[in-house]
Amino acid sequence: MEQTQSRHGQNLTSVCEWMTDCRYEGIHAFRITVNRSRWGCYDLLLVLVAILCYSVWDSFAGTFPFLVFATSLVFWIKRNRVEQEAVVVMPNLGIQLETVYCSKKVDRRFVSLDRILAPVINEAVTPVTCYFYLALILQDEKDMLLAFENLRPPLKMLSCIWRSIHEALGTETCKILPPRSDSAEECEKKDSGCATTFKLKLDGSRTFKGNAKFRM
Amino acid sequence: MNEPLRPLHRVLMVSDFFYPNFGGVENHIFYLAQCLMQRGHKVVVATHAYGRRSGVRYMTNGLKVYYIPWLPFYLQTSFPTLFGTFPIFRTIMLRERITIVHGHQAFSTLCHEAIMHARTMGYKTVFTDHSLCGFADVGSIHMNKVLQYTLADVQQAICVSHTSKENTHLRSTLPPEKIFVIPNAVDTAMFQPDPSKRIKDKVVIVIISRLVYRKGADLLVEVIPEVCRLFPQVHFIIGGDGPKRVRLEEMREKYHLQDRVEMLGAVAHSDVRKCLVRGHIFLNSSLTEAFCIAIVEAACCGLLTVSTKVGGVPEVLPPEYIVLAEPIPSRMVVAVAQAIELLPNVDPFAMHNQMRTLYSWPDVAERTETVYTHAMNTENEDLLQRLERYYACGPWAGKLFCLVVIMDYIFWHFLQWWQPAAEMDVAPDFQPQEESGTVRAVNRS
Repeated sequence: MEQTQSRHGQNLTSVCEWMTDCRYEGIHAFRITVNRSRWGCYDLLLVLVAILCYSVWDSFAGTFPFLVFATSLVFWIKRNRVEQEAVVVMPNLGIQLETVYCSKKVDRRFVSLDRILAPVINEAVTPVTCYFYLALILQDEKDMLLAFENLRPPLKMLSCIWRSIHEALGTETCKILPPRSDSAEECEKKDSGCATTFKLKLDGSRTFKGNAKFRM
Repeated sequence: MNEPLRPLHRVLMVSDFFYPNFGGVENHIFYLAQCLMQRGHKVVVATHAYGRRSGVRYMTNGLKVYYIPWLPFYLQTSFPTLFGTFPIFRTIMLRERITIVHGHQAFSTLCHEAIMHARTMGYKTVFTDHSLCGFADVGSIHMNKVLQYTLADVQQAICVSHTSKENTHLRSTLPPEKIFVIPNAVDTAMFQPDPSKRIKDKVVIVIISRLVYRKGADLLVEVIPEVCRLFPQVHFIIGGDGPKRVRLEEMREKYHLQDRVEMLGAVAHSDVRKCLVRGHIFLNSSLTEAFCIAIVEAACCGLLTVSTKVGGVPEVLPPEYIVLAEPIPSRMVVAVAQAIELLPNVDPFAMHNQMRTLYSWPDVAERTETVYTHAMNTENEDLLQRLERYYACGPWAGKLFCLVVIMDYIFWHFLQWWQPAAEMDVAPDFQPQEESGTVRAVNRS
């Protein structure tokens, strides 16, 4: 895959990487990738739980059985853990969603342009949290197709991807309009984490200003 | 002359009771939210999921409702978890940039938990009590202790009547100066009188309530046959359902009143007016009532009211529009007789116009806004000051309450580390654009 332009930012829990204007298997496309960082809160919690379990287990079964159990459990968790998610937008063709696992297994799903009714940003509520997600409304399908289902990038990133997809696919804008303060031509946000700005221009020449960091 | 600048609040209303469930609390939250939004405030509602209605929903004028997927376990209240709801409430409060948390109804678990978590996070809180509660039975004793715990740390409380205020003060030992009385209201436009729907040479008495013990269904079983015996021109229309419906149907068969007592079963809220405008008199037989919105709806439709003299009912209507009686069958029959005599003097449209001035949601919203401003002006307190008040709640309960609050405080600090506020997305505010029919996100800081 030939890559012409790339920008990325990272923090404690995630790395959000944008690779745009690239050749994807001979097709002009642009790709948006979200990576999981090496160390996150979940890894730290896993270590704490392991230490706690060990202190309890050691008094009953000894060290060796615990190490076997812990190693196999961590291996199983890591295997099924999502390492990277990507959206590959191919103008006039469609969108491909990719999920890369730690085991290097890759799931790909291509959706042709004629089946996409609209990309939408929606809110999900779980018993413990709520977050924004990007989804595609597909023709003749009851369920929406979720992008970045596991890594949940922040709204500031999702809104830019949403506009990029609209522009790239040439679809009509939805009934939900962007905030009045933003122009339709560019998406400009300030990140609370590093106080730097990034710009994503939607006129074909996607340029970035500063170091784009996204918190997840 | 320019109106002075009012502080605008961002309010989170929390209760287990909200649409699609129907009732007084549900209506109150919805109409209050609508009027507060018209006054420029941001209002968000949080309730538990109702069946498949889960997640975020937008209602009239962009009212945002979080249907949290916690399953109800008893009488539409969520399972009490103490700390289980903290992560979701913290997320909602931060992403919606809430300034005031307003809990509704003492029986709502979500309400109590939300107020506790909000106080831990330093938010100002307001509590509205919609019902009266006893003191003697086991359930009431338990409920009153929970209420005492919640109200030990709220900035202000609201009650729907002066009787309700006394009741809340006695149950929770909250100082009376912290309790405001703001009556319920009714959407008078929905309850217009229509005398043409009445039967000319008959007197129709309408009863619309849940047919349960608390609503005095057992009283009706004794009152209806006696009224029918004394007044041959009287007909009854009974709307509502419940466990006591069987007793009413048995009474109807026993006294052969099938042609004079019409039983409608459960009546949808949208059909209440259709039932009311058919009648001349509205009969309310409740054994306990903090406010009773039903009699206001009936008065709006131009019906003369006969009611039991309980709770906050005597405060609701002007004396010329209501006949009160003790909750004893013989006294109720006398009150109905009095009402039949008064009927020729009643002007339904004059009654409706007076109700429109007495009970309006914009007025309720304005008064509630004053309570919010009072709450916002109270001093911020640290954990030790809060613990002092909890400790005074009782020799055993005080210590238990302190323990719960300390654990909640520790859990809050864990959540701050686990998911820092800086990493949370701020939800945009949506305002409907009337001219284009679209919804536009606005950044209101």
